[in-house]
Amino acid sequence: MKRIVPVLFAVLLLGSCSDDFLEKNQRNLTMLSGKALISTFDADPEIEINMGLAGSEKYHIAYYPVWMVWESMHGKFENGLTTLKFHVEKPEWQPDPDFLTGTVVLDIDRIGLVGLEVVCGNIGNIPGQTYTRITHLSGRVKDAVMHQPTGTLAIATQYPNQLLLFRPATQENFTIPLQKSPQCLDFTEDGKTLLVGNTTAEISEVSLDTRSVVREYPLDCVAFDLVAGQNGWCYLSPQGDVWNVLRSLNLQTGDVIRGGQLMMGYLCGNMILKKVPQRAQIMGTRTQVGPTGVLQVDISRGVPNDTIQYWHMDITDFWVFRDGNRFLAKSGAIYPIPPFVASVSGAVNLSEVGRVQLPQTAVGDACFTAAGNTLFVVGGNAWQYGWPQGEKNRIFMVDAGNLSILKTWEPSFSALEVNGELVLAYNQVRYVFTDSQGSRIWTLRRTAPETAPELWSIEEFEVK
Amino acid sequence: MIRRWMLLMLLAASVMSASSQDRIITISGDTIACRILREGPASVTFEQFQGEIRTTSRINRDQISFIETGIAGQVQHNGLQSPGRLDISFSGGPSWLTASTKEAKEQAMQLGMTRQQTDSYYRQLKLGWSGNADAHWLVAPGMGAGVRYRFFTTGAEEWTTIDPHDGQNLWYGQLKETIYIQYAGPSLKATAPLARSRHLILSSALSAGWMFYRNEALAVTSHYLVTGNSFGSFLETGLDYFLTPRIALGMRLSLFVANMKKLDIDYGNGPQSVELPKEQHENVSALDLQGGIRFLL
Repeated sequence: MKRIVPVLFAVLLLGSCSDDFLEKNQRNLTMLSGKALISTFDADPEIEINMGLAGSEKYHIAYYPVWMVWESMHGKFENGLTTLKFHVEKPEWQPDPDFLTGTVVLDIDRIGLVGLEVVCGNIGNIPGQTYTRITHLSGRVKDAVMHQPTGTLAIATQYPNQLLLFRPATQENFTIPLQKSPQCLDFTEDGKTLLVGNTTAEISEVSLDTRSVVREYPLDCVAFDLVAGQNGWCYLSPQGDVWNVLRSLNLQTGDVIRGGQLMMGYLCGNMILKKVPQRAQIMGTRTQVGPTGVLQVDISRGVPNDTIQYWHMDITDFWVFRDGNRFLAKSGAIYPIPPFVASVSGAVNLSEVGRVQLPQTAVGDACFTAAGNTLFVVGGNAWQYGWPQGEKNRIFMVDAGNLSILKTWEPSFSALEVNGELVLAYNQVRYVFTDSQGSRIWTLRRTAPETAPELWSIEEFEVK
Repeated sequence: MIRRWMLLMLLAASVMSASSQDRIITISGDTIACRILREGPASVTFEQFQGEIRTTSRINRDQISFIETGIAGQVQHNGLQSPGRLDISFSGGPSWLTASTKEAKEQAMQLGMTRQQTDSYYRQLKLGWSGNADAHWLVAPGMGAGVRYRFFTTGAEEWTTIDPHDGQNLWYGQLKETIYIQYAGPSLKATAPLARSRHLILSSALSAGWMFYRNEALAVTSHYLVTGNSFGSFLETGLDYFLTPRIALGMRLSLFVANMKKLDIDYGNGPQSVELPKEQHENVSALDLQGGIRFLL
């Protein structure tokens, strides 16, 4: 007994030196490949995890970003599947990033720590999920126009050559394949016919009733831009970088009338043309020269008056208000449209009568409601016509009277797989359209130029 | 003459009887007035005078309830408190850590634990269980020297969210600790009967030795081991009730005192030694309340 007692004490004391506790509880972290994408469009976000190895094991969420608020911290796999439900609460103090990112780690019984990266943001397309507000397009968009009275949006694309027609109100969408490559288009007044300028010297007349090309008009030039005059004529600016004149196409006879000599010296190739509402006038600006100038052309007789009004100003691009009395320049400045006087001017510039104060540098596109009391403006960063608008382009709802910004929208990101890697590409809005009441807007956008694929899509916003 | 001789004899007998100062009370309740000649581990030898006849007898210790010696106030209870016996006891029961948890709670709340969680956690941690084993060799009546072993364990666990205050992430999981403290050291013990009771014995013990500390901890996803050792001391008082001359049941109240100035923390990559500042010495002192069994061999 006396000998047993000291031995017993030694065993008890020495037993405290064992390191089994650490060895048997060693945990390693395994990161799952890929990223879990969460869209802010999703009202009930969740992450589904499929891990066959997990079987029916219990787990808890051990590590997560502060912006994820979980429905439950504990869960159980069922045949290797489980769903993590949560909602997003962005910390108030945090600056407004494009994405919320983080790592989520699950502590799974008898398996260990399993982690995955999560990204939450304004993502319009998540593989495997569909959001009705995003419509993906095939092809490269060259031009787009909307006929507000019928609510028809027409988009001309190359690769493939086609016209994409959308009527959001009736959910009617159809495609008209084209033999030639389109690069500009406009609706006739009734909205049933599209005039399409091609990369070759002809204009195609496309009937939306028959959904086919019904007539080809040969030209003596390639149309860079065209405007349906709503008077049986179509006016087009020739492609090229030389001094040139307008072409007027009689849609009934097919005759092409060249502008007079007085136009030379003011007009040149690659001009932007816009119809002035409420007036028998079109206006233009030149993309190949500086200043780009403001040109006013009278079309009251069908064939344009050879004498044009000209102001020696740099506007780069422009959009005409519904009342036909003002136009918005690319800088955001608003200028008046004076009555047409058949004399060449150019000495006195137009005075600014207002300005839309944009956070970005320039206007990318603009559209107006039927009543003209509201306009929607795409803000971008590029001064030059046709240049990329940059990452932070936004859509602004502006009061046409006091020019105050009423609402702002951001284009969503697109989740793409580029060279086997997930890329979240920002989208640049190139066109914006609205319905007659201004209750919805549609933006036509492409993925950022620095991402490999050029992908176009329409994103719809509800104006509340 | 004969009467005088008889008187003298009677007187001598009475004197001799008077000189039989010891009393042996047997377990059957009989009282033997005698003079104890020798006390051995297994038996007690005594002499008696019956008239002029002196007789020497021996009685086994297991027949003795207790012995009253001629030394005033000295009672050897059960006759077994006499030197040369082994006193072994085992006990166990709840134990309360006495250290303050105020600072620890405040630190835990800064990490994100709620007051309710910290109160629950430290409430669990403060109440543990201990067990004692001691063996004393009675070197003098009612006094022994030996060794003592004490084992203590406690634990706490709580599910909580931890905020590292980086503004980016949060942790969630269990905070869990299981503490084991072992102590061993030499011990001194003293016993005395309670009043004149034959069954109730008061005891007290004092021990000083070495303490070994082990804390198996979990902080959300990380397991770590904290070990340490230091000097410890032990003070106990108890009351035993002898059911038989050899077996008693009892209750004990004890105070264990130990402080650690240095800890070894191992996260799985080898222990790292940490010297604790004076105000953060790890106090593992505890109050034990135990019930146990005692054997006299």
